[in-house]
Amino acid sequence: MPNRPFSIRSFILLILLTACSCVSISYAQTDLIFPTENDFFTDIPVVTSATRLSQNLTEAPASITVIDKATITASGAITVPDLFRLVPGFQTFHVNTNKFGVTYHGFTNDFPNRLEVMIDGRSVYMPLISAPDWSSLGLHISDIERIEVIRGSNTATHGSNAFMGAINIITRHPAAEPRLHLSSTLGSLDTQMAHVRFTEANASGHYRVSLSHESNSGSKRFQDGGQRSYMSFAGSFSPTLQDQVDVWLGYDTGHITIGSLKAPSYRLYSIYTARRDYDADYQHLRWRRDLSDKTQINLTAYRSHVRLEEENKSLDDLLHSLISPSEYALWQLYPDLVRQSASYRKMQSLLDTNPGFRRLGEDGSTTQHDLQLAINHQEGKLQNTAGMGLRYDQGKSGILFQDGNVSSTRIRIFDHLQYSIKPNLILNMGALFEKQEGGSAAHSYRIGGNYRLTDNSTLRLGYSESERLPSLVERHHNFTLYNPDGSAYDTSVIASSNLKPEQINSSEIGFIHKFSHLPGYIDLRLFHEKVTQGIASYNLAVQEEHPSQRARQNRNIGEWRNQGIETQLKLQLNDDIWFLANYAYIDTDAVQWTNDGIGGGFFNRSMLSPKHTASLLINWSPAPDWQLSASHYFMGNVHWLEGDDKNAYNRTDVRLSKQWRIGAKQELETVVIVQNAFNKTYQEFYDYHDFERRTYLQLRLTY
Amino acid sequence: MNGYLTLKVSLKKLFMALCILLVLCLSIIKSYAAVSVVLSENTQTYLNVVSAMEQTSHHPVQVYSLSDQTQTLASSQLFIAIGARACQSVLTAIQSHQYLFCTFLPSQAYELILQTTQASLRLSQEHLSALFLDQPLERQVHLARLIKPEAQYLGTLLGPNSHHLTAHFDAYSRKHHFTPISARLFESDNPVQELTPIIEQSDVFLSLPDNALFNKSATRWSLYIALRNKVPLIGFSASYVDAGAVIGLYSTPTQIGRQTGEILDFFMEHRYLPPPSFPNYFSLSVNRSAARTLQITLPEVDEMLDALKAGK
Repeated sequence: MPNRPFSIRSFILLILLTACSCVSISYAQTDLIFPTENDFFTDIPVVTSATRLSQNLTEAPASITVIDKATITASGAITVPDLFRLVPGFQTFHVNTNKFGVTYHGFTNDFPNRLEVMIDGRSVYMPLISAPDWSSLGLHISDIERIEVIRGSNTATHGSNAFMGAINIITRHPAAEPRLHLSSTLGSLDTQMAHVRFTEANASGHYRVSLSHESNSGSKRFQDGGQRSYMSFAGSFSPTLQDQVDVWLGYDTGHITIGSLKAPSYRLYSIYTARRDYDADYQHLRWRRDLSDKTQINLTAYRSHVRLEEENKSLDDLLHSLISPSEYALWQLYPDLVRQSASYRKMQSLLDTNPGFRRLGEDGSTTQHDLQLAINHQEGKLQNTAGMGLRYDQGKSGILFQDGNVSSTRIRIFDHLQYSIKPNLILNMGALFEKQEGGSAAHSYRIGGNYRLTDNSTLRLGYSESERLPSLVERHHNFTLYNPDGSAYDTSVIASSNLKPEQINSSEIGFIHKFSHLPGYIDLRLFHEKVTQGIASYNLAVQEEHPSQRARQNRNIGEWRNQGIETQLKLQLNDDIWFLANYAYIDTDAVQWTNDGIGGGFFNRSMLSPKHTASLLINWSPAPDWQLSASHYFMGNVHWLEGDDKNAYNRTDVRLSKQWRIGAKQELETVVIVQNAFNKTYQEFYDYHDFERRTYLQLRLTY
Repeated sequence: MNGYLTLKVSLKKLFMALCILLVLCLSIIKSYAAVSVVLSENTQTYLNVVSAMEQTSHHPVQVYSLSDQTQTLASSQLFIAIGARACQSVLTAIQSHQYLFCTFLPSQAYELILQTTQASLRLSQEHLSALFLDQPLERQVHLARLIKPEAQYLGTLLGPNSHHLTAHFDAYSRKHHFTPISARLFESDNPVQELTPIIEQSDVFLSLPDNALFNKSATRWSLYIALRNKVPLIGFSASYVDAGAVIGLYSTPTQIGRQTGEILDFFMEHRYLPPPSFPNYFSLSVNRSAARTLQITLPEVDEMLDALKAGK
C-alpha cells in the first residue's frame, strides 16, 4: 500500500492508544454506588426476538445481515450453505452433491478462501484446504439460533481470514430449547436424515446433546453420494452471577464423493471421482466474567482437528478414467496383456514409490489451537474492546506437504472502539496486528462513522486497509512424483515460502432506514474494494529445456477491483406475512492476473463474479398452525476458477408446514419442501452437475 | 527577538482576557434563566426527555449537561435534574432557597441519594421532589393478574437494590390473590440454581429492575428458564420485551418528559413542588413471538392499559 506522510493507519493507531489510556484512567475512578436510569436500558441478549431484527444494526461499523431462526425455517434450506443465498453479494454453489462453496463477491475456485466462518466464535476455516469444509462442521441446521454475516472486509475484527467478510453462526442456547426434539427428513437423491436433540438442566446450568445421521446417493449422473454421523454437546453454566462458562464439543465422521466433474462433452468418461472419508472433532471453551457493569473479560480457547482421507485407487481405476469406454472394453478383454506392458509396470512402480499420491489432493490432517483474551469496557460515550490471541496450526499430508509436516504460530493483538462524538454521530475504529512465526506480518485497520440522519435513518461511511496472511496450504503445498531411483519424474506443485499477504483497500457508504409503522428495514451499501498481491496459482516450466513440464506455484499475481451496490429489504406487513428481498450488483475488473509464466499471459475475466444476484423470501401464516413460504434465487453469469462458465439461473423453492399440538407441551410438525419447484434444471459449478427439482418431507416432534 | 517575545506575551494576555470576558458574558446570559435543566449525559435518551418536556411546558429553560454545568447555575430558581448523576451533583451544590426536581431516575437511586447527601437536609419537602422512572410495584403485580387471571403463584427474584421490596411484593401479591414466591440473589450465587425452583413453581414471573450487572445476568437466565418452563415473564423495559419477555411495562423517556413538563407548569403556577411520584404515563409492549411459543393468549393492550390506569 502506498506510504503517506501521515497515513490513516497512524491516525487510527494514535486514536486507539489514546482511547485505551482514557479507558484505563476512567476505570480507576470511583463509580456511583447507587442504581441509575441506565440500568433500565441495559441491552439484554435476545432470547426470543420480538421484531426479528437485530437491535443495533444502525450502530454497527459494517453492513450486517442477520439470518434469524424464522428466516432459516422459512427458507426450506436443507444444508447450512443454502442459507447464504439470502445474503446480498454472497454466492453459494454446489461443487458436487455434498461439497459446497460460499463466497462473497465471487473470485473463487471450489475452495473459497477469503471468508471467515465461525461457529459461536470458533473459526472453522481449515488451513489444510484454505476454506471451511461445510460437510464436516458437526452442526445441524436446526441447532442454529441465528447467523450474523458481515459483508465487507472485516480483518480488523476477525483476523486474516475475514478478508472479504465474516460469518458467525450462533447456536441455540441449551436453556432455550424444548427438552426433546426428534426430526426426520426423506427425499430426493435418496436423502435420509435423522436428528435427535436432548436438553437438560442441572444445578449449575443447562446442556444439550445432539445426534444426527445423514445419507444420500448423490446426483444421477455421478452418484456422488455421501454419509455422515455427528454428535455435539453444548453446555452453559453460570457458577456465579458474574461468571458464565460455555462449553462446546463435537465429533463428525463420514464420507463424501469428490472429483472435478469437468470435461468436454465427448470425454465425459474421463471425469474422475473418489470417495473421501473424514473425521473431525472440536473442543471449545468460553469464559465470560463481568468485572463490573461496565467491564467484561472474555477468555476463549479451542482446539479442532480434521482428517481427510481420499480413497487410494488402484492403477486400473486411475487408467479407467483416462481411456475411452471402447478402449476400456478392449482392455477388459486382455487385462493381463496390458498389465504386463512396460508402460503399465512403470506407472505401477511410480505409484509404489509415491504412496502419498492422491489424484484429487484432498488427503491429510490438520489441527488448530487458538487462545484469546479480550476485555470490553464501556464508559459513557466510549466502548472499547482490546485483546490478544495466539493460534497454532499444524498440517500433515503426503500429497499436500510432501516435504514433511508443517505448522504455523501466529499472534494477534487488536483493539476496537466506538465513540459517540455527538448523540447522532458515532465513530468506529479498529486495528489488528498479526505476526506469523518465521513469516510475514499483517496489519489491518478500519475507520468509520455512523451519522443518524433522523430517528430511523443512519448514514455510514467506512474505510479499511487489510491484509490476509497466506494459509498453511498456500505457503507449503508441494508435490513431486519420484522415480524409483529417486530422481524427479514430475513436479506438479512447488512450495511458496516467500508468499506475501494479500491486501485489500475497501471503502463503503451505507444507509439503513428502519420503518416506523411496520417492523422492518432497508439497508443499502455502495462499495469499492481493490485487492492487490492476490494469491493465485501460477503455471511455470520446471525446466527451461522442457517447457511442457509444468508445475504450479502460489504467487501474489492477482489484482482486481470490485465496485457496486447491495441492498436488503425486510418487512413484516402484519402478524401473518413478512418478506425479505436482496439484490447485489457487482462490477468486477481483473486488473492483473498473469497466471501463466509459459505463454498464456494476462487475462481479464470480468465474469469472475456475477454482475447481478437477487433473492426473495416470502412467508405467510394463514393460520397459527399453517405456514407457507416461497423463495426465489437469481444469479447472473459467472466463471468459477477450476469450474466452468456458468449461465444465469433462476430457482424457486416452496415450503409448506402444518403443526399439531399433542398435549400441553408436545408438538408435531409436518413439512414439505420443494427446491427448484419449476424443475428448470441448472448447474451451479460444473457443466454436467445438475440441480433438478428436489422434494423433501420432514417430520418433527418436540416435547 | 525581545520584541517578538513581548508581542507573544501580549497576545497571550489578550487571548486570556477575551476568554474571561466570554465566560462572564455566558454566565450573565445563563443567569437570566429561572429554570435550569441538567442532564446526566448529553445523549439522545436524555435529549428525548427534554424535548418532550419542552413540548408540554412552554416555560423557557436552559439546558446543560453534567460535564459543562458550573457555578453559573447559582442564580437559577428551579433545577430539573434528568438522571441520577445529575440529581446527586445538583443536590450537593444547591442553596436552601432554590428548588430541585429530580426526574428520570430509579426510585431506589433517589432514596439512596437522599440518604447519602448531607445537602438534602438543607431543602424542605416543597423544595425537593422527584419523578421516578420505575413503575409502582402494585401496577406490576396488577399486570401479572391481567395477563393470567387464573394464576396462583407469582414469582420474583430480588437483587441488591430491590431486596427491600420483599414485604411490599408479598403484600401486593396477596392483595391481587397471588401466592408470592421470591428469593434474594447475591453476586456470589449461582443464578440458575436460585432461579430454577422459583420459576418452576410460578405461574407468572415478575422481573424487577436492579443494578446493571444484576439486570444483565439474572434477566438473561430468567428469560431462558421461563421460556423453557413456559412461564410468562413480565419485563421492565422495551429491550426486555425485544429480548423475549412476553410483556413489558415501562415508561419511555418521552412519557417521563411529558410528565416533567406538567410538573414544571405546576411549579410555575404554585411555586412549590408536588411530592415524589411514580410515572402516570406508561406503555405496554407485547412480544407476540414469545406469547405464541408459550401458548398464552393476552388481552388487548388497550384493555390492559385502561385497567392499569383505573387501578393506579
